Amino acid sequence: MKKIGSCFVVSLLLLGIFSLFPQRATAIGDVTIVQINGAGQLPGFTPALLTIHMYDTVVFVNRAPTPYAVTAADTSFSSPAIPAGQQWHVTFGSVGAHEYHTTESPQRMSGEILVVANSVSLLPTPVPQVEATALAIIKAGKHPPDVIVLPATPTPALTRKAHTTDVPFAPPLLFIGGGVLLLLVVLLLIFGIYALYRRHQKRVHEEEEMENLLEEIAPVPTAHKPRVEVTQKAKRRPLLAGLRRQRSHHSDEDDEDDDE
Amino acid sequence: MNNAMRHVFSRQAGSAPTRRPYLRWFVTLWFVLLLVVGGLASVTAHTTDAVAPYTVTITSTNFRMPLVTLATDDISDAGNARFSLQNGTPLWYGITLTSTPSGIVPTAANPANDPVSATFLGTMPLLPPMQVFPFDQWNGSYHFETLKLKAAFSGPGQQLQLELNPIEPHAVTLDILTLLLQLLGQKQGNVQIGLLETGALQDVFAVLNDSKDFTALRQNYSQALTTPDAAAVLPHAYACAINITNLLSDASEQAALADVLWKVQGKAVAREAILKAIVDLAQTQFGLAVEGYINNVVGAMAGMFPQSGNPVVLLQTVSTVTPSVTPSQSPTDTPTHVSATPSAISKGV
Repeated sequence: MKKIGSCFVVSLLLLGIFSLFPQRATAIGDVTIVQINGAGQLPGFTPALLTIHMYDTVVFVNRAPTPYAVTAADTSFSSPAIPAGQQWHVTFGSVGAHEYHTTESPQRMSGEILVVANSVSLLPTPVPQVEATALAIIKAGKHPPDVIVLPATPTPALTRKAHTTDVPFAPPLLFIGGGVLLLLVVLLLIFGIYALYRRHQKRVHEEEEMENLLEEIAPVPTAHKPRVEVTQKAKRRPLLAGLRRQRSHHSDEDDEDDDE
Repeated sequence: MNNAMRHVFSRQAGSAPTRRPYLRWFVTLWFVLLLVVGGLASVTAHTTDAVAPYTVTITSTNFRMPLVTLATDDISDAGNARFSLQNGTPLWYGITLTSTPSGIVPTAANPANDPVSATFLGTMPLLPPMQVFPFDQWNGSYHFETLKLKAAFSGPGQQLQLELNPIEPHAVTLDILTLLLQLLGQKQGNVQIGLLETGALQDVFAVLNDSKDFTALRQNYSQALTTPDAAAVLPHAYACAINITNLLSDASEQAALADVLWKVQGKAVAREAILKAIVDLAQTQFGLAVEGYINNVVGAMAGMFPQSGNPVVLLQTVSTVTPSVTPSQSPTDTPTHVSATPSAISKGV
């Protein structure tokens, strides 16, 4: 019984911990889009220089009419050929500077990604409504105030970063760890349920044995059986309880003997 | 009756001298008015005749890249010749103006609805790059920044020249600000709206000119851009990385730079957040990224720099009247000085 209880507690604890993982995964990094420039633009990437945090994800979106593959000079990442209009992403798990280029035109189409520790503050993206307000003030020929105060009821969409979305994918290690943990929790739950089932079956079996024993000791007349069954059962209850107590006492003694 | 008639005639006779001066004045005034109106009409006609005989021509040279273009909007009216400059590159261009006679300057064609042209045709003409301001004039298909201009000419033989220079100091200064914004982690383009604020450009240039590290950075960046040999770019790029490290690390310059970047972004990002980013980034290793970025820019923009000649736009007024020799109607019979120099003819022969 104690084993089953502890098994449940551990399962629930692990389930609780695991339930935090999806939130952690979505909040772990930002997504930034780097555009592979299309027709009518200078061949290359926009932005050509990007500074991001560890575990941020860069999505390369190919706006060009032809496929391009992106490869880091330090071979830290390499994409397949990204077809026109398609995208490919990479997440950075360590700090460093990564120069990258297209395999098709490495001299003219190259860019730079600087990955810094999460403790380093980076410039925040202006809140769209604040920026729009500032622009409206400037276009009116006035000077924007030092602090632009928005109306008191901002919608959640306004406070989101324009260029980023929550990361739908965590780094591979977190994936593996999370998967193992989930498997463990599921196994523990299955084991717990199975143990409960076995215990229930055992009890039912014991009761049936008792019933049979009592039947042998004090058989009930068949003709009166339906009418007096309740009365008989009520009479047998203290007897059954006494037997159970005896059995559990014996089984505890057996357990103690086993432990010794 | 006779008396009455006489009286009447006498009254008429008496009134005649009083009416005549009015009539004379009226006639005189009428003639004066006719003269004035006629004179004005003749002057106007003369002026109209003076406008008509010349037209504006526009020529461009060294526009090698299809991303920096000139468009002729309407040059049929010399007093209001309209044209546009478009920039699809990531670099700012300084515009050097020269005119004959001096004083002919291009202005924004539609200043009320075009803050970019109105701002950057002021005291220091500049052609902004793509994706600096949130005004997408091409519906997202192409990213150009456009200056819509007009110039007024008043006679034939006048000209206005605009030379687009990507290494003009003001242009390079603004290129470096874009680099710094990206290096500090600004992932979104179109945020430099503060440059459109009245007087902001002058303030930004004044502050940055006082920064010794920024001045050195500008010099090295210009040299990197103009280095003809791609292999020789790296030393300048390395020097730029050193300059940026010094700029971000100097406590006295950190605050000034934060203030500039705050104004450049239209105060839409808190100044404290910018200062924190500067202080934090100064502690990191970013030199390789800066070197790589500058090297990449030079590689991508090869062929745009002065060794191949700056793009030049030339507008000039050309007379449409073909000079003709009209013989005088009454040739004079008076002998010329030929007779005075008869020996000259013989000498000449």
